[in-house]
Amino acid sequence: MRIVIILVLILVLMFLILISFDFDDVMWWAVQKQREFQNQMATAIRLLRMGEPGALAALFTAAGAYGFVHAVGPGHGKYLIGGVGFGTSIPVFRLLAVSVASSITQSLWAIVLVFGGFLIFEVSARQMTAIAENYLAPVSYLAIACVGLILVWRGLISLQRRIVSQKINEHQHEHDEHQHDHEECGCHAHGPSPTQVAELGSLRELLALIFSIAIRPCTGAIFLLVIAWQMDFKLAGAIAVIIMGLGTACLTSLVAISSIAARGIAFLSAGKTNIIHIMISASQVLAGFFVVWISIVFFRIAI
Amino acid sequence: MLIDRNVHRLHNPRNHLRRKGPVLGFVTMIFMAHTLLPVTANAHPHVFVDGGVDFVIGQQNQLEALQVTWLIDEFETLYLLSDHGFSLNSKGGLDESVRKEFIRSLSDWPDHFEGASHLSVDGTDIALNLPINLDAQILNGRLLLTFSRKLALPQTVEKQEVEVGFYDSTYYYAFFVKNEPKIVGDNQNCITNVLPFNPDTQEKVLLGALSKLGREETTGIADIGALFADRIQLRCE
Repeated sequence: MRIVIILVLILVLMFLILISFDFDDVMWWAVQKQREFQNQMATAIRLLRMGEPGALAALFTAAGAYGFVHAVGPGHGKYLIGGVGFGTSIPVFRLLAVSVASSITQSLWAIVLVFGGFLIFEVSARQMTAIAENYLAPVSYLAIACVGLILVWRGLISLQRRIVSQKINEHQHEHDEHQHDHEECGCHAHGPSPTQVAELGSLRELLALIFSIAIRPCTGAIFLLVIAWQMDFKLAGAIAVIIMGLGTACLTSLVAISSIAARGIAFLSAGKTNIIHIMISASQVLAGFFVVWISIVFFRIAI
Repeated sequence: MLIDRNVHRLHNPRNHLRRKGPVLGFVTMIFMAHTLLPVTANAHPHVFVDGGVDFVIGQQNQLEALQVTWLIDEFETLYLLSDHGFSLNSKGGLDESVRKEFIRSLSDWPDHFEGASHLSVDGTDIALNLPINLDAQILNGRLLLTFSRKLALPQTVEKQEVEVGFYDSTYYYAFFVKNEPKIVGDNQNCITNVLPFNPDTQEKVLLGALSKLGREETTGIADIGALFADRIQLRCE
């Protein structure tokens, strides 16, 4: 029953945040800013064609700014990173590394896709954009949904183990017998501890996070690379796209830090140690479901 | 022993189900909420176009054609050029021969070309032919396209409610009426009026429409661009 109450409280908190924050205004601001920075990139490209000094710097600056505001829109793994940051015990520097790595990998994948497509397969620009939007976007959303399901599963396992551990501890304390905290005894194996289950520590898991985000290249990056190929500034275009990725990494890193801070605040009020542990596992379940929900929503829109 | 019995009880599969029950209940609730609650449409445009529509009125007060103007953003201009295999010259513009070739390439309109001009007379949609007389120029880095669209059948517009929705159905392109609509022809008894999209007053209608769209089983969101459209009205005495 206590678990139900905790889960309800977390859901209510998430709902209150969602309804009180005006996401529509933020989204529209991001769309307007994207337009502004896209056109600044275009101006820089015209100056580049004319051989004007400073054109490259202008292109790189506009690309980085565009990457930041573009990441406010769909894609780039904000919800996944936020869900992982809030719902797991992942250390902050590890999550920041995931944010940066996924954005850079996304940029590199766009370069491989576009330049490789033009060079090897001679696909058209429209076909390239169609591949990214019609095939890779849904695949990415499904991959992210799978990572969300893994979060849910691990959260349930962690929750079950913490409940079992708590029950055993309470019973043992009552009878004053073998003082045995299953998380700390070390005298016999229990399998991975709930803490270990609540973290995302293995390289395989981190790579799964990175690739589920990176598999869908940014549409802005694709357009820029198409223009770069045709207008003969391929190297500068590739560098601009990587800088664009650093811009998106700035935004997703903010999400990472905010979600971990929110996790800390949410659990600060819980006085009893065993309540915190159970809340951590419960929030992992909820965060996982949130990630699955959002990614399935986007998947439905994308197909 | 008491501890062993309790451990056994806790590890009994039926107890597992009882403990997971509330959490599984939440699982079911969340999935049901996802399927039943409206999906917020994730529609936001990628390309921005300013422009407008002029009305060509011929004899007997019949609307014969629309003259459409599109001023396309700089970035999309470069993308369109690249897509058609063209590039800017060293002055940041287009050579005349390239410009003419570009016009020829653009004139290969697809059969389902929508053209962001949605004409209605007294609420009835009116069919438009594919564009003719296309011209293209680069102005300060932006592609300026002008073309005509003849009505499949000229329409009498005297005392009729004529309206043009200036939008792309998918809302991938966002069109804005920036040019004052003109009347081309001899008719002096017509006036035009621009109704820009107003998110504040239309928000409730939008939310209702978006929530309805969210429950549709078909893929794609039907005519979402219409919800955000600038509109031009024509009234003739």
